[in-house]
Amino acid sequence: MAEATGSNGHLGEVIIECDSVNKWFGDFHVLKDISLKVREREVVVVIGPSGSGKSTLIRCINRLEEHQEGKIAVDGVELTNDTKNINAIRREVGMVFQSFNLFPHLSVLDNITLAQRHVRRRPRKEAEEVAMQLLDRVGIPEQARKYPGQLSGGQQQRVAIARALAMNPKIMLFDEPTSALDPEMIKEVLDVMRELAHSGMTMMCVTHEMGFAREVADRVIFMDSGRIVEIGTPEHFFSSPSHERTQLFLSQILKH
Amino acid sequence: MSVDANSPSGGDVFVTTADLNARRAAPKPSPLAALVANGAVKRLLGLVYLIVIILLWEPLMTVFQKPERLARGEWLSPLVESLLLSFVLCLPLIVIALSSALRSQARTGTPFYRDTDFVRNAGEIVLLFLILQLGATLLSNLQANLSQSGLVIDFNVISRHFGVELTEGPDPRSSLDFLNQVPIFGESLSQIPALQPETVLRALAVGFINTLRVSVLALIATTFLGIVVGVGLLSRNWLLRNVATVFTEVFRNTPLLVQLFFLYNGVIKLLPPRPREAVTIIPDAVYVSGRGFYYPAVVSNESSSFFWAIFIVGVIVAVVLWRWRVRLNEQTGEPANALLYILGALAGFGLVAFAVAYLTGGFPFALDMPVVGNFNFTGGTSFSAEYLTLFLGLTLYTAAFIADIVRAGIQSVHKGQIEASRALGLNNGQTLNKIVLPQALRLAVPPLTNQYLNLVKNSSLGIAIGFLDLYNVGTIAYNQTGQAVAIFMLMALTYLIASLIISLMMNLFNNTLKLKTR
Amino acid sequence: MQQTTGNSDLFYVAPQEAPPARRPPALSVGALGWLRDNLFSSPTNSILTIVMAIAIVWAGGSFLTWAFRDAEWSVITTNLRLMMVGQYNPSEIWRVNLVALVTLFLCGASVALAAGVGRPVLVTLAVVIILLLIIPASASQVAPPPIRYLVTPALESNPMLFTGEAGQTVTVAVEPLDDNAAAAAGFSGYLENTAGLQNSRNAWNDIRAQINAETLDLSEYDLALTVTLVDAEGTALAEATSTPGARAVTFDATLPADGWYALLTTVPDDPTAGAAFVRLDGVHTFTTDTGSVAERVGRYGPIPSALCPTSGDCRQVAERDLRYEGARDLGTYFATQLAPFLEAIIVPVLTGIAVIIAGAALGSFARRSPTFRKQLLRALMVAWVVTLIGSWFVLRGFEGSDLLPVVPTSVWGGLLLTMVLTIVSILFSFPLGVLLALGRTSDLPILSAVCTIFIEVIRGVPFITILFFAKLIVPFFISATADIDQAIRMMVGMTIFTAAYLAEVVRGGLQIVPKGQVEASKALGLNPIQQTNLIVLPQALRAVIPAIMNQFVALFKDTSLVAIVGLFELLGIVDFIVNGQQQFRGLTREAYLFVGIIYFIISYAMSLASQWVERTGAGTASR
Repeated sequence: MAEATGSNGHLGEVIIECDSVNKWFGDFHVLKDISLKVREREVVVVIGPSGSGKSTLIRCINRLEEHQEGKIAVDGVELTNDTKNINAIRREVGMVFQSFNLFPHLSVLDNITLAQRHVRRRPRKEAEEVAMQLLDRVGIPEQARKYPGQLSGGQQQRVAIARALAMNPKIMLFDEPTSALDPEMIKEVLDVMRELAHSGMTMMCVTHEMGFAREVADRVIFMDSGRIVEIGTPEHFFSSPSHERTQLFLSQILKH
Repeated sequence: MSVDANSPSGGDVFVTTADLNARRAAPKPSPLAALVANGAVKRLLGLVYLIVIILLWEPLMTVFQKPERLARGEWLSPLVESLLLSFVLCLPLIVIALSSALRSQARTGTPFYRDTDFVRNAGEIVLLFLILQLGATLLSNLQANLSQSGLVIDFNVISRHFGVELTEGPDPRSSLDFLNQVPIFGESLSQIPALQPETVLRALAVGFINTLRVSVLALIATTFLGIVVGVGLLSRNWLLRNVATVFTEVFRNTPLLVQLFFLYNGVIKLLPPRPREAVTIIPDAVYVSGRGFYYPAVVSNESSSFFWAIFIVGVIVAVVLWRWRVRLNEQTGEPANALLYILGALAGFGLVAFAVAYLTGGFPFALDMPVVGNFNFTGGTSFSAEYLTLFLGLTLYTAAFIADIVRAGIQSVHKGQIEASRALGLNNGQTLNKIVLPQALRLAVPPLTNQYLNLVKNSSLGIAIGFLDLYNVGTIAYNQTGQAVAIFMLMALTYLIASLIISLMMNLFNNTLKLKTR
Repeated sequence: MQQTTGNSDLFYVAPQEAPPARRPPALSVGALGWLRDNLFSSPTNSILTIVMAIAIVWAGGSFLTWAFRDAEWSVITTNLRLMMVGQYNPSEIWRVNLVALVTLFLCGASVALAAGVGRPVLVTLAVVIILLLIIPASASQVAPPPIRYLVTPALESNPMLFTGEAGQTVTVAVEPLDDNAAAAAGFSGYLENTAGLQNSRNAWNDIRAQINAETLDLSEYDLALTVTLVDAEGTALAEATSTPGARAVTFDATLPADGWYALLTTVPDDPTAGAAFVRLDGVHTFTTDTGSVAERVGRYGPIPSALCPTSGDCRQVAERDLRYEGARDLGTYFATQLAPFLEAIIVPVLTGIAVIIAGAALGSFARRSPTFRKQLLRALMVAWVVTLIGSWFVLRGFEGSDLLPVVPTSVWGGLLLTMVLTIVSILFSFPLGVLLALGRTSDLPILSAVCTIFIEVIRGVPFITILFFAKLIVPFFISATADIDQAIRMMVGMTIFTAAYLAEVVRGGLQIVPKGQVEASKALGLNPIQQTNLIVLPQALRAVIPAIMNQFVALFKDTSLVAIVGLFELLGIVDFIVNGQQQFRGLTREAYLFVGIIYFIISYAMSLASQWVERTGAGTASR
């Protein structure tokens, strides 16, 4: 087996482990026998046609959806009906949504400090310092007092990333973070994600941005019809995919 | 590099060989668990549970509570007892929740108190306990105090004699002997004590009929008026627009009761009460006086039945013609002109019916005109002054709200819709009928339903001006018998059922309008 | 000039100088254009305009004629105190005024802070102030209508008291008995102060009936009458005697000083001696409500005891005892109806406006700087809480207190009671409604069922059934013999009713909040309670602020229904005035119109304020 190296060199221990995970929506079999291991500091990109279950898989990892069969473990803690486990996992996993989901009635600063103060119980001053550092890191410190409605889409998504990072997660999940953005704003968000990857964060991204995947990902996962069809390194994946479904999908995406 | 397997073992590189289209059926939970998990079943069970609690209340209360102790001011032990009672009633739920949590603990090792399902159920049980406790305290207090002051809730009040004469609506004294002709049930129905002449139940029924009489007519009138004013609000004519706005603002911002008082005491009651001085709207036919609105009655005689028979045939023919023309239009594109055919059929058959009736027995209908007398009108029929006031008041008040709803509905249709339909060549009328109104209606139906319900409930204000609607009769019955709770529960139930029926009908109408989306 | 190359139309170059702009055709702009567009754009439209114009002129004309010529608005002026505060102890009304002023100030400040003060408001206020100042002043220039009362030997001829200023000229006349004099316009004596005696109006009706039946010969019916004008001590200032045969006798008198004066009439003892009208010109009538009496006493001194040892011994030119009869022109209307009304309300209204403007100034000033804005916001919130709670105690009073003696809610009435019912119900129904909405939309089936049943039952029955039920049942929740104030029972009923409707409104708001918000807060680790309080509820409530305000305006209007169960709020007390008190019988139209106008002004203002706030203020995140 080829040695797994990420863009940052040495990868850590297995931090996300899925073992024969199956999920149904009613009678519809949406995740079929998903088995997966993600290591610390690894960047994994999940691609696939719509309806393939990629978003569902990600949402299962922080228990926004419940799986019926199989086992999911995050940082050694298994995801079950145990509220203690669920809360522990949610503390370690941050999520960025396609529709940003910023709280419109709070300022940018309040958006980022809210969970810090109420979940991590940090004092307001400390929370605001952390928030300003993160805003600096994502490049928009001057927007701190504004409200989400006054920001552009790219700025909002960057605030969402900062909001998730403020909780000091070990893993960041991205659910199609740039799909709702105008083309000219995609780059700024991808830049932030790229910097995040280089800094050593474990990331699992569902995205259509092939350029990003090629550049930053350690592994690319292709899903279709609820199954993992192919996993590979970006070089292997984009130049010579093995499964015919992968080839078909890539030809449709990369052509135009 | 590629691991040949059906499912990945979590390695770095992988290609699946599984069939991508294969699917498995979801694991079926045990049928009982599935049943319990079903949302609707859960609600039904919850409701049944509540009903059981309510039914068992009395016997359970007698076990735990003793009103004399409450009267003596001892509230500690009754409090403890009611806590115990609530706990006992919650026991089945606690058992179910605990058992399922323990079972999943055995399965997965999750301690039961951290299980998400158990946490949710426990929250519900605690809330139920609190509600039971609050309800228990309030209701037992109420019962104790009521029985102490000698007020007993007795639903048999509906069979008691109602001694006040009702001057509005059908006569509660009419006998039910005609029921004896009905097979099987008729005999026993006519023997029910509550249905005998002049019982409280009969009086309440009369009140309800009066409520319906005024509400139905007012609903129709207010819809028409509301639509007219609503369209006027958007009119191009400055004068019309402003008059409509003033009308809407004035009638919406003043209470209905003030309007009713003004109409009754300030307009209608100030009209001369004597027939000779009444206001003549149509000479020898329609009059308005301080006592009411008098108009001719339509009296049928022998030849009317001929008329009606032939006319009904005409209606059926009209319906058939309508369906035929619509189908013809769909198949061949020929304009349907359905309205023309319907009116033609009705008119034609009407004439034939009239002719036949006339030839066989004379005029099929007689108009019984009100004739001015010294103290009263003879002949004709009338609306009482109270009915007139309530009808006018309800119509004007509700029309103001409906006008606003109609306006909002029409404005909600994008201008682009009208532009597109004009670009396609449809004229004003067609645009209005086929494009604007259907879309406007979709937005307008829910608030319209609300206004209709409000109108029916507002008819209870008739008591302020002496109209014998359901609420007024109920109050009189209460004054006569002292049975407040029983009578008012009956009235509340009636209003609830009426509201329910109207809501259901409007919902059906709404569903036929719904846009089909993916 | 166009340049074209030969036959081809492919090319065109515009001239160097643009041709001058032309004005649009005359009929499409300006006043004519507006008329054409709005009123006469098509044949149907034109007909509609003409028909409506006729209808409006006819209806408006009849209404205005009635309002100015025939209506008797004194019923309102005389009963203003009753209508505003009911039977609240007159000496404690300062407490109501205090509460009202503080509330108005806070309202002004809050609305200004939330939405800024727009020009239309300032214009309206300016107009109101100007009208209030001008009309009474100009009305006082109009000569007051004459006061006339019938004197016969059968009627007690008590002194007729009036007040006058130094240098004021009054004219006294004795008029013979004929239809012309009696039909002439002016005030005529309607009720006697002394009980049990025939009043002059009835006496005149009797006489006129006799004239109609031709059993009376006017020429033999003159009265020998001596009329004396006296001052407060009883000193005669002028006197005249009419003798039979000699018709009208008139004298003028100039009053020497400010004070009370009286007209004394002496009649012969012979009961068949006839009758005559005594007419007094140049004197204003006055009202007899407590405030005016106090003011009069302050200015002219108390009722002279030399003339009137006991209160029943004299009549006064008070509106309570006089009724205006005959034709009335606009000037008279202003002098006798509008001016007294405006005089009665001018001080409270101007004070109220001044206070609102002060509050609004504070609010708009604070709006400019963000720090001051935050401070004022916090201060206002505290102020509102203190005011709402404190008002209850200030209005109600404490046992044994000298400054704030107890005024039980059973005597509160009029607009005061309406506002108290409204505000208390709003305050208590809001949290209850939110809880019900959260309960109804929760996942717990039993809680959801209980809340749903409660909401649907309350919403499905008419409001008065709930009020009636509350009136009967509420005390029984406490004890078998508890006597809870009617007002408090109504508050309980109204709170429950409003809470059910509010629950539906809030439920609509809860459905608007996108699911993603809940997911984001879950992903951040917030627990369900934090999710609801910090994320879902704020957004839900903001989304339905207009609907909530609508519900409150409806609640305000619905307080009128407590009149049916016997409480004397604004509508109830007016009903009592018009149906219960003898001298105001039949003045239903004036009274109900006035009540309607008050409700209209307050409702309209509330909905305008809410539209305003929604548009420019709190609900939007983008400023």
